[in-house]
Amino acid sequence: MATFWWCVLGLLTCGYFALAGYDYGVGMLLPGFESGERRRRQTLGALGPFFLANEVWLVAAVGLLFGAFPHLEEKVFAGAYVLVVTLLLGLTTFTASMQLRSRRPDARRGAWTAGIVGGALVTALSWGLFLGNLVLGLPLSPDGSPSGDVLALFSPYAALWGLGFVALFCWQGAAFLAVRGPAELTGRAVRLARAFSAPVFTFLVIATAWGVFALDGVRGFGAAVAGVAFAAFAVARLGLAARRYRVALVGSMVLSACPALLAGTLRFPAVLTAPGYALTAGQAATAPETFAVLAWFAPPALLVLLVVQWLTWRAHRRPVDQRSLLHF
Amino acid sequence: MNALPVARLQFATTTSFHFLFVLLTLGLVTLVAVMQTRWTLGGKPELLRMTRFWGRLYVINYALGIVTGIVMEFQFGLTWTGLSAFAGDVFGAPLAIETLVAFFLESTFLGLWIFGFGRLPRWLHLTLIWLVTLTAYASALFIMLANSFLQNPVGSHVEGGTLRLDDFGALFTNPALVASLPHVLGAALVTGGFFVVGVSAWHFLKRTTEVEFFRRSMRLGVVAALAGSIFVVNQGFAQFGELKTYQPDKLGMSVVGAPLGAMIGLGFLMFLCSIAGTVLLIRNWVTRARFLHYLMVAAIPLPFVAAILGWLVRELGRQPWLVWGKLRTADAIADVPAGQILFSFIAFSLLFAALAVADWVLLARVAKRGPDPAEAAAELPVLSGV
Repeated sequence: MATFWWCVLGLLTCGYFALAGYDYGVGMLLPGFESGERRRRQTLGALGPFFLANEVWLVAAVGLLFGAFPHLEEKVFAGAYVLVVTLLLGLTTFTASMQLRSRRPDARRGAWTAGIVGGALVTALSWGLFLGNLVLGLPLSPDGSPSGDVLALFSPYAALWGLGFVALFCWQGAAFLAVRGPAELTGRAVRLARAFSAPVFTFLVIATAWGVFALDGVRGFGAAVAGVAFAAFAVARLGLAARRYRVALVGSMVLSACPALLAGTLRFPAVLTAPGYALTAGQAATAPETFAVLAWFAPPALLVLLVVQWLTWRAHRRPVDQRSLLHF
Repeated sequence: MNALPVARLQFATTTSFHFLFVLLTLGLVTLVAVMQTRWTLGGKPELLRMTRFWGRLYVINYALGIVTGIVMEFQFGLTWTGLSAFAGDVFGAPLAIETLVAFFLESTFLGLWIFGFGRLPRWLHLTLIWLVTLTAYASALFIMLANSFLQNPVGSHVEGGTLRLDDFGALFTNPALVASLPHVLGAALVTGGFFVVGVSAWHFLKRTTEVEFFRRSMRLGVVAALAGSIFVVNQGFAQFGELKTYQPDKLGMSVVGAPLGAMIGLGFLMFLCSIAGTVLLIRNWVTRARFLHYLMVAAIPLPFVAAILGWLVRELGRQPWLVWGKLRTADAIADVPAGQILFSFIAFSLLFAALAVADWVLLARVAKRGPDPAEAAAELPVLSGV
């Protein structure tokens, strides 16, 4: 039972990174991509129909984490306290700035633009650091309570992940703009995506090689996820080369989901580890009666959601043009 | 330094911000849905412009509802880890359902509604705004259900130091929920009504040329405020009876007295205003009484103040318990150093204050600008549907 719900949680979490990753990427690339206000609105408008839907995958994932694995939730957020706080500060700034930036036609927008760029950057860094720590093992006290040691959260390995995530999301954002951005800017988006390929590949190689030495208690899943990551990178790179930008976008989305997949499967059934401490999925899980309640609500909601979001994608799969409704 | 007061203050601040935004969200979306329904049923073009104008204000307000909600959701795991450890097996379920069934779907449907303006068939687009409304109400139901469980932990028993779920259905019939949910929903409707009436009154004071537009808006707002305030007052007093069964001493507490008195006073004041407004609907007197318009603009904040007071009564009256009679607030706080909690409290409070002020200024400016002219041609690219 716990394994099934762990997979559902994995689906939501991976879905969040696959989708919201390009939101943050487009946010960070915004000032470098196009400076004219009209084009900038079209760039943001490319995200438009997907933005709200993408961001709430996180809300759903954390809700399910609380409902299905309350004893993991209580350990993991408090254990990485400072990183979760910076993540939320970044996320709040980014989400609010996106939604409020373009609400008045005649207003100045510099502060909101700064909020989008800065918020996206802090969000990407914090996610990288957070997941890097999860993969490495959170610095907790031996009984699983927070150690309160802030500096331990910023280990070199985690810092590598923080920077890696910035490159990864930028790369994903560029791939997204190649598909959905204004048609006349596709070339620029592709050049950006090519430019970010090298840092992303470097991150992949170093994180994997370093991980082989730095991590212990790892199961075979880790190697499999690393394999998927390299394959996804290759697919995306080939997609860019062959001008099949949708293929490139899907590849980059799969790659963005890989770190979360890795953190969830690396030591399964242990789902949270620290030096001298491990929490298994069974220990983290809620009671069987509560799972039974969740089983009534979660599958229908997820089904409706996947169908509706798929239809949204179908309806807005072409690049933004003169007729597009921008909103953001 | 003691972390407990900082952590409590932080949760109270986040929740207050969240409450201020979701209250207007709930009330306003209902009114927008009614406007769009009347237009779809063959109403005048004015009704479509009303849907767009009030819908635009709704979307601006919604933005901060989301972000404060996300921070609240994380805060359980950041600071109140004892709650998950003790009651997570029961309390987690309504929160998970709220995010999956309500919040997740609400945002998806709202996105479709915003981007469906003029693109989707009329009836489908109307269905979307009602789905947004229903999922918003479902959100309120599950959050109030979770809160009511903290007030009165029914349907569960303590086993081996943690709470176990016996009967999920009992959470729906919780006496702490049955009267308070309609009370809160009524308050949301009053908030939406007062907001629409107040903004319309401002335009009448400025001698707007959009007389028909704001007359219709004001009439709808007055009716909503009346319907809502009947609910609020009625269900407010109904709670006194229910309270006796699960928290008999709550209203006798000294911290509760002042906010309770002020809330009841404000409630009756708003009820009387709504009745007066309804009487003045005869021959549209309400749109011509200029001296009343000043009062209507000034009254926009009243429902917000009353709601925060009501929330203080409910939550302060629960102390020192987090889960009534079962888990003390002091025992639920995480083992995080007080300095880190203080840092996050200051950072979030400053950020929320800045964003809230920016949001309200934006709301006021867009409200003051009024609806787009009726004959405006659609510009290309199409900047926004609402």
